Amino acid sequence: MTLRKTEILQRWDDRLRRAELAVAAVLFTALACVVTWGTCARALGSPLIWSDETAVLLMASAAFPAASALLAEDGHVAITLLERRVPPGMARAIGIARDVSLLLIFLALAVLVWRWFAPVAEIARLVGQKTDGFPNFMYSEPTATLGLNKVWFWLSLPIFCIGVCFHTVVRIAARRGKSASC
Amino acid sequence: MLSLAVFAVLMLIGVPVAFAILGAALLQNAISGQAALLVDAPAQMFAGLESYGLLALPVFLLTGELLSRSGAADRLFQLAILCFGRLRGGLSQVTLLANAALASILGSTVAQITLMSKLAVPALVKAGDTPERATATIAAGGMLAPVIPPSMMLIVFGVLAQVPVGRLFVAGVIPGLLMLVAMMAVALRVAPRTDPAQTRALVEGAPTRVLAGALPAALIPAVMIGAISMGLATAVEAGMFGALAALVLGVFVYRSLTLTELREAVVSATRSSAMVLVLIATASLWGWIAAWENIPATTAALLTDFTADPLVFLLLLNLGLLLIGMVLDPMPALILVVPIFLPVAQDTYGIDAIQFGLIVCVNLTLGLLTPPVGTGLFTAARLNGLTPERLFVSLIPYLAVAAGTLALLTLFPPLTTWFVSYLF
Repeated sequence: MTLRKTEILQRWDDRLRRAELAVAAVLFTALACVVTWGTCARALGSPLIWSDETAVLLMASAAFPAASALLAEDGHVAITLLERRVPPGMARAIGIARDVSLLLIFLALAVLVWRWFAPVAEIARLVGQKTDGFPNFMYSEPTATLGLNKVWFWLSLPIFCIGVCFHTVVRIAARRGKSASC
Repeated sequence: MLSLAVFAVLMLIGVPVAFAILGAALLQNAISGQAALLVDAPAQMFAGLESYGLLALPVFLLTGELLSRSGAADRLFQLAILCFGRLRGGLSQVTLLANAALASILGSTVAQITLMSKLAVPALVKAGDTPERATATIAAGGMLAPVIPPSMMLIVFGVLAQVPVGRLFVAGVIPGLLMLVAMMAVALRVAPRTDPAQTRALVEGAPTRVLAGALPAALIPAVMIGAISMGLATAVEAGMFGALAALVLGVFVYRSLTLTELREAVVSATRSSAMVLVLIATASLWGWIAAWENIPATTAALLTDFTADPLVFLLLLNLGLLLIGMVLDPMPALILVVPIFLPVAQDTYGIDAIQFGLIVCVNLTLGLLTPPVGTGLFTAARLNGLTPERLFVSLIPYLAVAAGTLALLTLFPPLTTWFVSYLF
């Protein structure tokens, strides 16, 4: 991969990271507002039935995009002791092994998320085509108090998978670009 | 065994702990032949975060961010000098007391060490302390953060163990004070005598002005913990009150919180929350698989073959945790250990979940300041231009008294449970 292509990829990676962080920060702000509203309403003697569930679902939905952004920022807790203590050549090999392992883990998760959502069968069902097997009940699972289906909140998982896979691919490409230019 | 080996290798090559857990859990699931479990894995990860108690985590992190950005730490340090600067051991004592106050608003060791490195180390060195001893004092003070409420580790433990977070906060008060007193005794012995007049000169402005400036910041955690202890509010509600009070304080009283600062505080709290939440999400998958594979029962059978005495179990647990804490950060270690050992401690040895939680949190905190992976040790050394080895030598007396406190918590359960049973 040429250096120019790698730079373009890295720019997109940074844009994605900022977008993920912005979405997560908005969801966290919404969470804070909902908790405040719920607390005030309870103190005033008219508790809101939906505030706790909304806040919890907002927190869970915000965590995944933010965690993907953190991967791009190297912000997760990791033990980098070995990489720091070995000669540069070995450290490079460890870095490649880490990125490839991460990609494999994220691809495995992406496959499981794909199977869970089964989007092709759902689209076929929506356009009225006959499909084999049972309908996917995850699309009709309701929240307890919100009147919304839970799938809207679960969408943060496929978004997370796309984000982390992209960030990891860009890291691998950047590593290759760097070694090619050396 | 294969999944454990894969987990160890992934960690060694620097895969973030959360994703190393995820990789090992998926592998364990795949090799166990439970295909149905594998398909449900993503749903289980999401479900791991669906807990009301966990809401305390982002809320308290936001409170800490708002207070630290509004200049509360500086004012609390000034108040500590004003109130306790004349004590023997002078500034070191003040530093530890300010650390205790900061622990009650920040709840994070690394954030606390970063703040105190800027605030206290230059003052301590100016007062005649060596950079190593000065840095050791603030790093040791950082160990108070996971014990003195509101502690992020106690929040996460509460969620994992299904124990009300408010009770854990109350239980953390006595161990936190014990650690503080023990550390102050060390400072009294190792720190040089500072001239009270010199210490007093560090106070900027009239005493009434210092008091008026710091009192609102000192009152916020006091009101939060008071409300939780008296059953007036849940930990989440009290935390939200703290965040709102910190916002009002920063914007209208201290006038130091701009819109940009506010945005950065929210983003920073989002980052810190996500780091812990994704760990909990992947570890809940691991805990779910561990329960399915009957790992806690197998562990219990192995341990009861070895000993039936709860005290021996706790000593073994402490030894194991000290070793784990040396290579793993406290939060991931807590998340990995609790689902396996808490059921054993409760069901087989009859140990109270609150005592277990406090022992685990204090023990793993020691690992923050011990090589080879002590995040607190490395942060403090880097921020103050020291080598971790030299800093570690100065930290030994503080680590020794923290280990002593841990022994007391292990031997005397009422130290962790009495205050809770008295209040609730």
